[in-house]
Amino acid sequence: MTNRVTGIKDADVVFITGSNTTEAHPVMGMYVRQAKRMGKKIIVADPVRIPLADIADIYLQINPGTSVALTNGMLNVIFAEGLEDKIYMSEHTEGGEELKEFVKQYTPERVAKICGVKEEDIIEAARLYAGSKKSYIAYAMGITQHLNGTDNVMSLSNLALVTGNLGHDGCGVNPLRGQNNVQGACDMGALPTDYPAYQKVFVPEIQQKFEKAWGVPLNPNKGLTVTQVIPAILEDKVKLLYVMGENPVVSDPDTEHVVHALEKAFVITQDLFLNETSEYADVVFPSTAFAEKDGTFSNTERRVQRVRKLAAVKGECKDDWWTIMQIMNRIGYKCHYDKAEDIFNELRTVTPSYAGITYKRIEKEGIHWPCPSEDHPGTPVLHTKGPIRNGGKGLLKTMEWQPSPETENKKEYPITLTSCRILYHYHTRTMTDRTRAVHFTAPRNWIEINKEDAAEMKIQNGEWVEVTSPRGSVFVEARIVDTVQPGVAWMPFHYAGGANVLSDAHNLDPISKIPGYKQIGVKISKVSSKKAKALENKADKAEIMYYVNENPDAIRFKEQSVEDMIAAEEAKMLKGAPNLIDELDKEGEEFTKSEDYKIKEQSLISWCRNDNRKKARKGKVGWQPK
Amino acid sequence: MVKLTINGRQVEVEKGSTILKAAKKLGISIPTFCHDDHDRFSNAECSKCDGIYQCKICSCEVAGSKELVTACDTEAADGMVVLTESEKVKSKRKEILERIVSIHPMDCVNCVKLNACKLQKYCELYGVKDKEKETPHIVRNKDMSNRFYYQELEKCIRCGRCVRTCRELVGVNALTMVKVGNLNYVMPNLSDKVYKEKLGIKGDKEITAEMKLKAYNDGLVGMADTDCVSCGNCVSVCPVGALMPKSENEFREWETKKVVTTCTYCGVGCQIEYSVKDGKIVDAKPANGPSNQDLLCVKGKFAYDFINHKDRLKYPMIRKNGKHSPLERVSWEEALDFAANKIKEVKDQFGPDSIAGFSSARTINEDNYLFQKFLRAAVGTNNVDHCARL
Repeated sequence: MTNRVTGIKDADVVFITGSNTTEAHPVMGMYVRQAKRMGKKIIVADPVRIPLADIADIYLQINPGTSVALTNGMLNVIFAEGLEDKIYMSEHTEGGEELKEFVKQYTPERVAKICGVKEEDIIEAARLYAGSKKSYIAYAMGITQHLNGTDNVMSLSNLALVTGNLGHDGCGVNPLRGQNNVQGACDMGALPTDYPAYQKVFVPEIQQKFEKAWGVPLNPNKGLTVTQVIPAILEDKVKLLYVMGENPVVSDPDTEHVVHALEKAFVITQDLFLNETSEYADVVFPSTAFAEKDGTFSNTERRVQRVRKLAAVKGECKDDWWTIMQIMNRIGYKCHYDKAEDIFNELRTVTPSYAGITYKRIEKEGIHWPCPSEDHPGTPVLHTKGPIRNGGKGLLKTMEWQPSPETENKKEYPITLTSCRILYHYHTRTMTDRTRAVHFTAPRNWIEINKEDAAEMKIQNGEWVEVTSPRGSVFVEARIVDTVQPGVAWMPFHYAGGANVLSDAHNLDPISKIPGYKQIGVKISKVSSKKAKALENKADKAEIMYYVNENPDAIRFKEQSVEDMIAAEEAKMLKGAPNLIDELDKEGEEFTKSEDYKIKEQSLISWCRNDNRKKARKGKVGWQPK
Repeated sequence: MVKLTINGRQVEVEKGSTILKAAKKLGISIPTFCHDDHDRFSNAECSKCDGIYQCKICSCEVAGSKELVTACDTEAADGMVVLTESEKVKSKRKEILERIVSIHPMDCVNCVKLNACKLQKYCELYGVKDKEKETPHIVRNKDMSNRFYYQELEKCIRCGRCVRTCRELVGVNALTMVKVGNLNYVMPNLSDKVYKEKLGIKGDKEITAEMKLKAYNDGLVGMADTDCVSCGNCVSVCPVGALMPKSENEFREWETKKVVTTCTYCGVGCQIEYSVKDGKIVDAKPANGPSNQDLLCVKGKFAYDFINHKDRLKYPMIRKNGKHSPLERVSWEEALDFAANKIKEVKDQFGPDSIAGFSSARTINEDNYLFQKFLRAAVGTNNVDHCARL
């Protein structure tokens, strides 16, 4: 982010695009609502009618993947009406004339057609945005996770540069970063082309600097990105994969493809839990959780903040850095650190933007990088003296809008699926799903379909549907909504065997190598009632299993819906009626064959027959605390 | 700047500061219930609501003024002489507390909020020992309908902080207050349409506050019917035990120690104050971090159960005989040697670029730094990336 998180409250106009802020960054969503209360103007552009659209002054329900066209259209209006900041442009940017000429073809009329929104709204949004020197752009994965994601981002930066909305409070181009330390991981050089602080691996002087610091010769070749490693394993180029705190089976595109790769490579994982990825791991190291270690996180506004050890370490868990240090020593690179702070003090010496940050300085409050020296206060707002770009001025690039190849085959795959985040879950659910209340709020996957589409396909609310893409198909529950346009559907990203079974791993953004999660061509079809019943049973069963695993006898606040489900199950068993498992059809049978399932099944039955439990149920179960 | 005297001590504060702020500067604490510690509630809102949110517990004596003034919204003026603990003030506060206590269940020993309760603290301070009389009021039932927290509104002291936090800071507006008789009652904020549906009323019949309260008491409506996003900020600001997390952890305030750390979920970087008992997290509250300003979301406030979950990995495991063999528990030494030998073997046979690593956007900077150093310096490849794109 170029600006502060709280800067969104200082802005006069907030332009939110490709971010469901209240769900994915809830506290920031609260600030947007506070800003609205203060009378600030809100513009929202998103294919899904997100909650913030309801409070927006202008809501543009654009077609998925048309952000470049929208921004070009807005720029067209800005130039046509002379709303650009001519002084800022001449002082701080280059390529302005070309851009002005280029966007002439993106008339509001044409853009309205591409985006599927009203012409007046585009003009109004452009006037509103350009009419203020405090216009704050907030975007997230809805902008980046496209095959033209880089273009989307650059076009937003054009918008800010042309109107001079950069370099002071309450404006800027602000990507809301999804993970707690995704900013830090990038800063620390966990990127295939960058050493810490974005120093490029292929620049000889930089290489020499790090060779001197680390005392070994280094490799000048660019590495592979996450999305390139998986195909490289399948092509036999990569033989061993070390995964620290990640769950690629769920988070990476095209699950089947990922699983094939993990079966082939030697996989080392380091995690808190056994997850979908560790099923393919050869070695599993247990790690400490964030509450069990000291260290630092860098948040989305580049603020480096302390993480403190406060809980006792479980079992033989070790800090991640300790495990890596042990491996490094064993493969012949001698190093030793006593605590995380030692590593931090080392990384400061090679990371210029962190050089002035110490644990002592951030004890009370974090500091924004760049912070080059210990007397530097940190930099909450970037580009205050004009855009920084290798000594040059801010570059305005011309970006042509291109439809995604995913949406080309309308005949076979008529629906554009976009994957989204939901409030309650986090990424691949390994952490959030262990909180019962979260689990039961959003226990299983679903898809949201426009009501017109649903009527055409004769799908009812709550029915099971099969969603198919060229990569595979998934069975999910349908929710009929009017928050998406006909021809568009959305599905949460979090669930294993969900959206990423459908996504494509081969077509990537040419620059950032990001997969096009927000535009997946799919078809949706009803399933037979028999199949639907089997799926329903399987899902119910999974709920009960989850509950049993949580030890219901010790739970103080019972989950009424599952209690009812168990009671029904128990009643059936007592009557001697065939239990649900026998009713499963073929798809269900496969599932019941697994050893794991049988064990759980047994434990469920014995638990249901437990006399104590029955006694407990006679009392008032569930709704009162002990 | 204005100069004023509080309890005989002089203090200088910026123009526009309240008496409360000035007292705080001197280290003098004035009791508050309805006041937001960071002055984030708009005063306009307060007057709009007939002053129903004014608890007046912060009343102070100002020389030259007959009436006591409320410290939280009275501007400090030059030459003002303020007494925060005079006899007059004390008796006024005692009177307010007695009024609250007359509707409040005095079952403190069984209350989870024991020792963290503001009402309890002030009662002790101003000598309110027990209920002297009982104010007639509508008895409230518990609302357990939300999965993350419950409401025990019989304990509510009607300060309105939950309502205003939800309305003004969170912006969801899931809570409201209704007036029945002389008393305010905190209620889920639902439209008349919902009440009509639940009560089976058709037509234009007006829904009165009594009907709403009854529907709520009967469990026909609850927090689960509102737009509530379960962020739990209302729970965090409740000065008494009326709004409590549905926590499995049994603890009392004095058994815990507090540690502030950074939240582990999204990138906003909220600061959380965890209560820790015997090395185990038992409660979470927002801290006043620069990017979260005393607010949290549902994940930060409630989703910390994974840390103590029984499914946590507790020891290293390896598959001794390939992918289809089971994971077996081994010692750290054995697991580390097993992994390191394989890395060495692959590196020697196929070169460093045949090894790749995924670092993590979920762990600390130090881990990430060492991970990329491990691949670059120890293995010799740039095949290191993390889930930034996903």
